[in-house]
Amino acid sequence: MIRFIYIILGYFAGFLGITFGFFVHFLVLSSKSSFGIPFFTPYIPFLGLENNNGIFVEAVWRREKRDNYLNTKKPDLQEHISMKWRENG
Amino acid sequence: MDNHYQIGKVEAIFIIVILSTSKLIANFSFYFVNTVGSGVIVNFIYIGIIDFAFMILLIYLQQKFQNSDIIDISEQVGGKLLKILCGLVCITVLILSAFITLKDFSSIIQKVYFSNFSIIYILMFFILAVLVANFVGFKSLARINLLIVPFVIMAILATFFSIIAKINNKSLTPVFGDSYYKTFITGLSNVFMISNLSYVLFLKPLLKNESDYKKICIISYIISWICILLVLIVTELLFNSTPSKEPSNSVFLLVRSVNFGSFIERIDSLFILLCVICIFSYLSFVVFLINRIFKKLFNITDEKMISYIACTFLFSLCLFPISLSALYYLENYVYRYMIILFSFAFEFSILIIGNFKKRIRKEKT
Repeated sequence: MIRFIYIILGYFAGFLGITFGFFVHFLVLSSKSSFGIPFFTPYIPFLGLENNNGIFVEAVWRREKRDNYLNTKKPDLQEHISMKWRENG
Repeated sequence: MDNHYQIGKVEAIFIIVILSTSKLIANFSFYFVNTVGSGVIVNFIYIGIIDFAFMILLIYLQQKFQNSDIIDISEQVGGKLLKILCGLVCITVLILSAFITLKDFSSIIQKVYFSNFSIIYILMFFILAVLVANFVGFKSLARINLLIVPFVIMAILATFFSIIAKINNKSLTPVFGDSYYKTFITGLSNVFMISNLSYVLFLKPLLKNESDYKKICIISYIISWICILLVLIVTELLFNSTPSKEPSNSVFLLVRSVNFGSFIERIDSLFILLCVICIFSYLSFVVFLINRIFKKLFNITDEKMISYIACTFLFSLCLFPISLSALYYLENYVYRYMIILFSFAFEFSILIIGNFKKRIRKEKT
């Protein structure tokens, strides 16, 4: 549905219309939240560079904690040494 | 409409960076280069140091006023009369700033991309975006800057690195410009370019954590200083220091020169897209500040109507049949000295008197 709005804006005002549409679209999305958490978390609002922030993401076997903004009951996702077969040989 | 949202450190820094770097998109870099010639770098470092010193002084003077912006401080200093005067001065400066930026940029877009359109349609898009932004709320406006500013900084860096390689170093000499007097005395008026001082005083009540205020001011100052310096260097290198009467649309011509080999050429439309979003954000924040000032002056509960009034006023101001040379006179002389008087005389005098009054009150008790 929104693509038609972009098409109409693009037809009427070219890149200015598309930019306007993008700006308004992004404004509206920034004000939305999903189950109490802002829509663009963890990018916007910026929550720092630690703990799988979405910008620097660790390997699957290194992800030991769940994201802080989820406020989960169990913050630990997996054990410190998840690949036990490597340790045991 | 959530205008009681309090912003974090990164959001505040990016808001100030957007407010400062939007000046580049209007023709201010041209006036800067025109004033000092080839002494751009030396002059900018010189005024950067002076401006930074004033900023530190401002932070120190504002320390005693918890959770207060310039309007609240003026009320504490001079009562309701000074509050209203301060509010009206702030609104005048903000409206003039927004008018100049909007009129200049929309005329650039109309000349280049929409030559068959009337400027009314272009202005309408900007005004509508500002209205929607203020209607949706400050929370979204603060968050959208978190997306825009990294791209703006990347665009400035890309422009700098793509142009710097092809330029003749002799354009930067003589390093001190035509004369020491021009670079260091006359060039002192270029301090209007870094207009952080006029915006940071509105920031304190919007912050989640007031103790971050000092860090925010310093970091945002450094980032905007670096961005403006990079653009000024390439403007100076590309357009030479020969003073011309007619301001070229320097940033637009600058981004048109960006190319990476023959594969990536004429990517000015991408940059213009960023510039447009930057201007949307800048104007929205200026109108937000105007709404806040009106709310404080006249104890209004709902700021929505003020957005309509401010936007209508700005729109009608931009439709005023002002010639380009009159606009450039406004930019180069009226706006320049108005910002200097506002940032360095008006704000500081209120803060100094306020600090003095607090000290006297403390001594009495």
